[in-house]
Amino acid sequence: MAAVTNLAIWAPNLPEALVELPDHVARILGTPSAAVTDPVALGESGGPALIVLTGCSDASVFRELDPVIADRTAPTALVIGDGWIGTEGPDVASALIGAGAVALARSIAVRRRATGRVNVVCIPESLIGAAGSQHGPLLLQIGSADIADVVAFVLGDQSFYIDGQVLYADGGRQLFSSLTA
Amino acid sequence: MSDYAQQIALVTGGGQGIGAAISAELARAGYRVVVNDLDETRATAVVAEISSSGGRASYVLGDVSASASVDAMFDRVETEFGPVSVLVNNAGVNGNAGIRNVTDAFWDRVTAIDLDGVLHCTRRALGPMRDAGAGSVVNIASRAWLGWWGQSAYAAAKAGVVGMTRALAIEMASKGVRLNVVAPGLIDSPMLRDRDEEAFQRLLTSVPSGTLGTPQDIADAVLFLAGERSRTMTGQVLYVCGGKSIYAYPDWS
Repeated sequence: MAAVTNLAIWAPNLPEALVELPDHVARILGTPSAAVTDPVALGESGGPALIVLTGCSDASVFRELDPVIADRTAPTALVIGDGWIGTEGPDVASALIGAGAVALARSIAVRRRATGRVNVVCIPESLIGAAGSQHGPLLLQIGSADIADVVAFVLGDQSFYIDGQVLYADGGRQLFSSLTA
Repeated sequence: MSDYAQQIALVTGGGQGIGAAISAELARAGYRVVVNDLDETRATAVVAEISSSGGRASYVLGDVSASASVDAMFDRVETEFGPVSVLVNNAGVNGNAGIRNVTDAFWDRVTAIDLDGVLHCTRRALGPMRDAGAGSVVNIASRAWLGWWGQSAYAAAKAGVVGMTRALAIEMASKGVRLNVVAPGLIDSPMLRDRDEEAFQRLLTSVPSGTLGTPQDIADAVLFLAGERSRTMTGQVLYVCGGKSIYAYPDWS
């Protein structure tokens, strides 16, 4: 994969199970990464952006993220938990953040006609709080490296015509929801 | 040596357009590709192109709508090359007709190729994949399964593909076999151009990106879903559509 510049990362409350995710993604993309503390800084980056919203419970982030992502000319990936599709026992705040992120990505994708694109990677809610358990009908032990491969795909050149979509890195859990086709 | 060097990828309808791009991309990644088509001239040309670029490819003729033809095709591939570890169900026909023109014969032709063909190939491929404890099936559906003017037969067939994929993804998951769907939007292909200019322009206005996709865009998504990078994903419908699937109401003004 061709090297890209400056993977910008904003992860306001990165769960323990995903601590290695940014490094994995940067390694796959072949780019240095830089964590930012203010989402506005994502707009100043000309490279891909990784935004991890798992563990986040403040819906006001969407007001900040909307103009920033909409103006980006490089790809953006949002990582969320799957509580929003109705998985068992989701924390309501996490479910709302997930639904909000999907709505944000879809809304931006249809509103702009810029070169940037934004997609969502949805991961098992249970992974966030309990690393090591098996996930979905594939019976996988899903970890940061597995999720990173999907994130890197939506941030790379091979997803050029994919915009506003949700990719489920979840071992197939999404198959049992009516929201996912 | 590529990770995929020992893997056989069979691409149905691989002799032109999207299928040819998928075949070439899988070969570039290192798969040994078997190109299926009805037309020997087309299949031969794709194989020659791949071979001239250093890839490994062969072709096998066969009609996906006929289960006996499909079984014979798989028998031949397995005898000559080995079991199929990646199946791309790409063969298809467009079915653009208002409901008054959806005759029984029209419906039967569209569903025989676009839906029955996927069943025939997938059913035959899954046995060896299950035995091997690994395998990946990528079905090419269409954003149109969500509904579009003049697409009742085509949408029904592609909706059937989505449903079949999701059901089999559940059924096969514990066997280590994954099945996913790529749902193209407006991809610049002979099938898309098979309509008048006004209808073509109306279609374009419904794409948020304002652009057509390319066969390469689809090939890139297929390569991703075929291989290990998507190991956590099964039963996914991946829209490669420039955002058209989000909300595709055309601009009538």
